[in-house]
Amino acid sequence: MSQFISNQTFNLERRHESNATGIVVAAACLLTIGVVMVASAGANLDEPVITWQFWKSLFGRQAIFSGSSLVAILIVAHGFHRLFVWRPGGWVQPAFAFYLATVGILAAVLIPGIGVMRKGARRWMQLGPDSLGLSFQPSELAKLALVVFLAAFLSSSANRIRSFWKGLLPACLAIGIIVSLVGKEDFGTGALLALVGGMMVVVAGAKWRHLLIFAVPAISGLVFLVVSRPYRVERLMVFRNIWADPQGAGYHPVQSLVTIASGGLFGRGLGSGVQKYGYLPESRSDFIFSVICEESGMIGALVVISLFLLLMWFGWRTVRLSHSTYGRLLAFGVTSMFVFQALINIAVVTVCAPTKGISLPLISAGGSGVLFLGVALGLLVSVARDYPDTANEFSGDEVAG
Amino acid sequence: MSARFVFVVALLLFVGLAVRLAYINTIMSERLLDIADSQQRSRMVIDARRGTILDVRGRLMAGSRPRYSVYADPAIIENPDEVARQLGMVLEVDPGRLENEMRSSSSPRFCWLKRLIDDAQADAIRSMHIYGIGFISEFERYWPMDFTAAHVLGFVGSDGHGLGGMEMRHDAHLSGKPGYRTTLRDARRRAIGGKVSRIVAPKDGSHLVLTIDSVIQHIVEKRLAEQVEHYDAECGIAIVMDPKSGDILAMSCVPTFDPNRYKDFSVASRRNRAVTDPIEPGSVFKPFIAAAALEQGFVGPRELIDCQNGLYNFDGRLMRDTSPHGEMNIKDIIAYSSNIGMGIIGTRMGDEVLYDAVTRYGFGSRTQVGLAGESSGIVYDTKRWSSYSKTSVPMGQELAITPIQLVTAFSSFFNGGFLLRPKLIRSRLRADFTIEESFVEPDIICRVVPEDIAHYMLTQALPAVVARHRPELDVAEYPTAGKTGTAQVPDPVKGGYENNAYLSSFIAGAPYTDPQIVVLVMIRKPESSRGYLGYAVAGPVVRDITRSTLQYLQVPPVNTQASARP
Repeated sequence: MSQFISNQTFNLERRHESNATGIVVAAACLLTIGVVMVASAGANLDEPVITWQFWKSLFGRQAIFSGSSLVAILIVAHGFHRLFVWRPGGWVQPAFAFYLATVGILAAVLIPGIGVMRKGARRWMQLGPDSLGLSFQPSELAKLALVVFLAAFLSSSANRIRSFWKGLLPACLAIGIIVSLVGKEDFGTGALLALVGGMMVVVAGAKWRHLLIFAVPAISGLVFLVVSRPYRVERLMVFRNIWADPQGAGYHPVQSLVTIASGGLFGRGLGSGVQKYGYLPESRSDFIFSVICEESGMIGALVVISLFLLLMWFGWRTVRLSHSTYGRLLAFGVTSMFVFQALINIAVVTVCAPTKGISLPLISAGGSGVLFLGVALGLLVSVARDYPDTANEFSGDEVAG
Repeated sequence: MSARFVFVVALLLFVGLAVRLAYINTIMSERLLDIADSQQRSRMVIDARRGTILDVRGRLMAGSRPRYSVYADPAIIENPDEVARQLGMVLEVDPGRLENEMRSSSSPRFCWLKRLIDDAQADAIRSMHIYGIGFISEFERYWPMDFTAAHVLGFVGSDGHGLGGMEMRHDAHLSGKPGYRTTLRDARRRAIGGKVSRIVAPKDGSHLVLTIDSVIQHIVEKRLAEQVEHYDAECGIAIVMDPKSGDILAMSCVPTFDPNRYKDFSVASRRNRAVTDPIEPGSVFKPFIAAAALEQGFVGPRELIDCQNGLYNFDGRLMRDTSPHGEMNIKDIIAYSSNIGMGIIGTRMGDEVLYDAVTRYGFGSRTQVGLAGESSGIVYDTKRWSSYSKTSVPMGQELAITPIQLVTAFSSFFNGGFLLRPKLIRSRLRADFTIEESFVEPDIICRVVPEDIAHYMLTQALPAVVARHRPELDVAEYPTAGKTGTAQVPDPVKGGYENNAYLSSFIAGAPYTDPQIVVLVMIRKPESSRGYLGYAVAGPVVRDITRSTLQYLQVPPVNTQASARP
């Protein structure tokens, strides 16, 4: 990383560089915590977490993917965000192509034979032979594609978003298509996409009266997605009183709370958690935050929250300092995607929200998903490092809204 | 809406979640930690070793030894029928039963096959190397002297707690405090290796040292059993007490039981009749009334009382003596056990004085010797007395006493007039055999007889009884003082007394020049055709016990020529 910084000219825009460094450092810290905690949470009595076949062990896979994710940040940071900028008058729009490809993959996953069922949901796509164990969730890709497309499209011409037919409607259609494709199998991510997409549209400057038109279809769509799967309704009912059946329907949230409370202020010590030994389901993926609470206590939990806040702070500074609407929207989209995913995840494990399948970004065991997060963060860093060659700086320039 | 607004909201939400974490860790924490504790920990009890029970000279009367118990893990045993066949031979258990245990175990991973097996059996099973068979070391209670002092020692149930005698009374001290090992387990109940598991060591139980001397106990039991068998009696009771300390040297009942196999014996044979059974005492009770009458001047030591030649009418109640006598002093009234003489004395004393005298000796209240089920006897309040009572009570009727009360009260004549609390415990020792608490000092309740009267009873009245029934009662080398009794056995169904059913008793101390022991023997319902009188049935037993015991205690023989004989 030092090499990457030294290649730059420090004296020009120290503030841009400090944002980029901040984002990378925060991401690196979160990824490191993730590798350690996945290794710890993966402990069980059946198989070792670390084996000689490094790449096949849980710890090894997470280390490899997290490392690649960091590398992805550093590569993509080299101006890659410009790749997706809307080309005025151009026939081929890379951002739109990316979006279309993602929609295609999302649709393909729903076809049996291509998509793989896991835990009752068709969310995964197998890559290569089984023995390699490579698979990915296209919904991770969808998050990236939606943010990139919206940022590019909404910044393609001044005041595009003020127009209903040329701006808002296509943007909302794009959100709607991707949300319904993802939300069918993965309601949590669908809701997150709807939330972030909606915020991007609003932040870009959509007219409130235009937005009201979309309120009814958007809400009825989400309700439909909830009702279409019985287990989603059940989770909602359980959430109202998890103590009604702590051994049955309420088991997961109750165990999450038990895990958190086991840690107290300082935690039981790294690796000394007990709940991960079969008591807390999904302890290495969606519920890894509980394990962090158990093993490193409130202190560790606050460190993780602080790192997300740090990421948000540098993301916000990137939004403020960026000189282009595209940059601002992209930075806002990526930052808020991270921040709200973390918020929803922590809300779920602390039983402030009903259970859904949303992981803690950069920390949860996620395989290839971590790679897309790296790419997204890379784009954010890329925006942060992008400053005009001239000395005049856009500071304090609010995103229209 | 600006990006700033979104991020401020996000910041507030993060703060809210941090507060939520604090809430979970404080207010909800107790309930949640309870859940964590109950699901993650399993506690295995480590048994404490039960304290031993020793006799007064440190001989082992009850001990605990480690034994193996063998169990099976039915889930991993592949062919239970084969395993059952192999183990059945070694354990001497029906293989079918073992197989059934394994197949229908209530717990899928554990079932006992046989508990407390021999070491040789354990070695044999170990050498078979059967997968799924394991051993747990447990303590087995055993009583090496089998029947000896069974009623005093009591027995221990399969849960390890005393169910009778000293084992029950001192269970809290004997059983100690079990330790435990806490193990963290995963959701499938497997121990998480190397995880914090806490071990609290067990605290072994305290040892008891009894006042019982197992040699004397054995002498008593053997002689009593012989006599009960010889007379085909219903039961027999014998107590040997040191009158100066209140220590019980032996306490025996027939029928008896073996605490090692207590389940093989009837509840009746496990009952310690020496403390549980109220008995109408008969003539052995007379000395107490005589002593009280002497003390309070209702009769003078030299006063002659007309015993009416064996037939006297007390206000409509006709009384007889077994041998008719004319005028007699108090000594002869006791020696010849004159009912009429005692009746006249009782009439002089009146209800209230009699009642006071009876209760002062401790009759009607428990001696608190420390044995379960002790009876207080039956002494009615004077309001329930009839006009007959003042003549019945002086000859030991219309009241019921326990043998332990009788020995305790009788000892007061042999220790200068004190009522002591009878004792079975000499001391309690810690697990490392250092003294925890000592009970050597006599526990004096009160003075019940003035010293001169106790001396008169000891050296004049009671030796006269023995002198009358030589040779059944007399131990030549140890001059003996005592009182016989032949009571009719009350009929609980019809009222009155059973025909030809007697309680033959003799209570005596020796040597009366320097009393060492008081011995009581009661034999209930001897076959009356072979004999039933107290001096004939119970007398020889007391005599033989006295001689053997004093010889064992190495009490020097008293020169009988020199000692005054009445």
